[in-house]
Amino acid sequence: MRELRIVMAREFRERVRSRAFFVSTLLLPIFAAGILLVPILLERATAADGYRIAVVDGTAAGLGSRVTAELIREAAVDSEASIDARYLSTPADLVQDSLIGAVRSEDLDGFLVLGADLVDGGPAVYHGRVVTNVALVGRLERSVSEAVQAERLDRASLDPATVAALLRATRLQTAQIPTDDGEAGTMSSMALAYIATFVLYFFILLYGAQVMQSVHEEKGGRIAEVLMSSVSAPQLLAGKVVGVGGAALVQLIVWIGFVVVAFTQRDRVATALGNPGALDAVRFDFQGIFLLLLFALLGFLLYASLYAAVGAATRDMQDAQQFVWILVMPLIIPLILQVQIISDPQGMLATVVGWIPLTAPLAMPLRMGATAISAFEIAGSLLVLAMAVVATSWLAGKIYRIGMLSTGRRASLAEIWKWLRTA
Amino acid sequence: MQPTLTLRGVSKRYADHVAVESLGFTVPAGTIYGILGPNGAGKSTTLRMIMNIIARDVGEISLLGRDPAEHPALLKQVGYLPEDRGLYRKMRVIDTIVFFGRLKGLTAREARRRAGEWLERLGLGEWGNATVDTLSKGMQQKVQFIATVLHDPPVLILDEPFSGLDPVNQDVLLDTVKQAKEAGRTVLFSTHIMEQAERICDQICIIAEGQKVLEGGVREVRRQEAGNRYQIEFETEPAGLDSLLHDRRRFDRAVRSNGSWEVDLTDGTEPRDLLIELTRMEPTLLRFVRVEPTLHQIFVNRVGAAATAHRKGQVADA
Repeated sequence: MRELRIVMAREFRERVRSRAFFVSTLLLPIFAAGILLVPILLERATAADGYRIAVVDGTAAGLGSRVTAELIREAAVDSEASIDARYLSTPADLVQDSLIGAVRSEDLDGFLVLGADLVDGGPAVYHGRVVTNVALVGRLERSVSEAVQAERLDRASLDPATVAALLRATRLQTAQIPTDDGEAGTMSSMALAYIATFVLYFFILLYGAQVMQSVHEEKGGRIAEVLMSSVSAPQLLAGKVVGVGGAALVQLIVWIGFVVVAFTQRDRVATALGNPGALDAVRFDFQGIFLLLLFALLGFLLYASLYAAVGAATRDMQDAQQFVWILVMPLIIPLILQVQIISDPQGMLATVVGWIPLTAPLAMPLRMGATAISAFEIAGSLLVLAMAVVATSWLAGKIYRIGMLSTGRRASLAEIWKWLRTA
Repeated sequence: MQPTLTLRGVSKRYADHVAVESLGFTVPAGTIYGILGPNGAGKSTTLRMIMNIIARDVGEISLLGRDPAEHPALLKQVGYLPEDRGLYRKMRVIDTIVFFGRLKGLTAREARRRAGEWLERLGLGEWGNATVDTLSKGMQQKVQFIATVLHDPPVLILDEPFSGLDPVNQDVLLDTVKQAKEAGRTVLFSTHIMEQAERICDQICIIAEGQKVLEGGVREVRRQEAGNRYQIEFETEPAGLDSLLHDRRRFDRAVRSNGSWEVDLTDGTEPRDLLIELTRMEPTLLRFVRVEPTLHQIFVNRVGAAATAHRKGQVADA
């Protein structure tokens, strides 16, 4: 036990001390926050300038003035970028060239041409320097549609306000039903489950590779030869996996800390983004996070011991590629099936991948995010996973004992099988 | 006194060649024992079998009275220096040494104290906080050596401990090994540099192509291997010596070198009679000694240039 602790402490300390660890632990959340916030802030910055648009009205009904008024009104209501809309009743073919000139000289952002038969289903065309601005095009489309609808209602002698009241949309709300044993959905936010799955995937790949790299270092540098006179192979393996896992856990907890801080400050964040109350719907539950960490931990242990075994059986990273894909495959399956798992979390497929130890660490958080999973199933999945961890550790320990000390040659699958039987 | 280490009929066969064949030798307690041999002779394979790093095919190994393969805990009483350096490149020197020391049972504090002393002693006092990869090869070698001896084990097994060291540092390490012996430790080390072995070994075992060529105390081996070659030296050369030494019935060979003579006696010639004859000559006889070959000469004679050449092209994985 003493040796195990010493090996573990070394792995943990060497990792946590490294600059790469410090940088990724602190900079990644800042980077992630940047990715989320920068586009919003940039959008607000450009929006402040507003758009300048000419509306060329070719309709007999003078629909253009309605469209213009609608554009200006909407901008005022939704606190979106203002639109400075100029109304022109001159026929389009007469003014088109001068308008194009105005756009080129950047006096205008673009112009909207309303065809003569617009009310009867004819086209409205927006000519602009940039036509890929989805927000602007969407607003133009909405304004034109509303003006046209209002005109059509007028012609049918219907009161627009009455029709609007009659056609008011119904909001469908969702409410999760707890299971029989009173277990409510353990992860209230689907988004959290999504993010958690990706973070977990990333963690297992990254830290699994680190375990393997560490094995290669000890093997290639003949450090293993010295170590094995003081430490047994299973101890060395376990110390390595747990030590690296500890470092991973520290990083994960720091990141969760960032999320919790961001969560407590969500009112301030939303207000700063000019949309108070927008993040009120975000919920957070600590039981969910605890279960998530548990799946993450067991998932890591499972894959890390397999990675260590691959490291022991191979010479270097390049050599290891032939086996690594076998490990990555089951990890990718839940990601590929994400949509199916979320849309039918109690279905056959989701249930099966939730019980298979290799896929459960990613699949279960997804299922738990999508619906209430019974405590029995969660506990069962964790138990099977834990048993698999014990089994793979034992297996990896055997490969480790022989693999660590055979250098130079690459082992074939057949050879590893032989090791397993003889070790 | 029970020998520290005994090997009997130990063999290791790889798919394409025999690394060690039916090897046996005994390392008495409190001695420095050298395993000598050309590259690829099976030295490292032998040491690694003792350390239970690789399994032997057949044979018996007894370390401190027990088989290390059955009692791996025994190996904690051994300081093992592998042939290739085994250090974590990105780890600090002091941490590396403390880590290995703790694995051998020292407390962190004790390991740190001893590490500091050893670093000073081997001239690395300034380097404790440097990472291993910033050290020169020779310095890394010394760090590895410190990690090997830090827990002051009763047995040291050193695989080519002096390779990669400059002569000054070789001497430093040779002295350290000698001191370990004086403190009652047993040292087993491999080398292909005979001068080193000659300087510190009490006993040697020469192996080639996995087999023992000869074994014994350095003095006895040299005596045994000495032929009928004698060195004769006078204050000034007496008249008649030249013609005496060129008597083909008594001498196979007589060569003058640096003011003395080196002669090979024929089988029928008694050294005792020759000595009496020489002492009667004027002026005084200064020196009459049997010339013992150096280990290097013995090695070359016994192992032969042929074996070395034969082995050259092969993978030195042994």
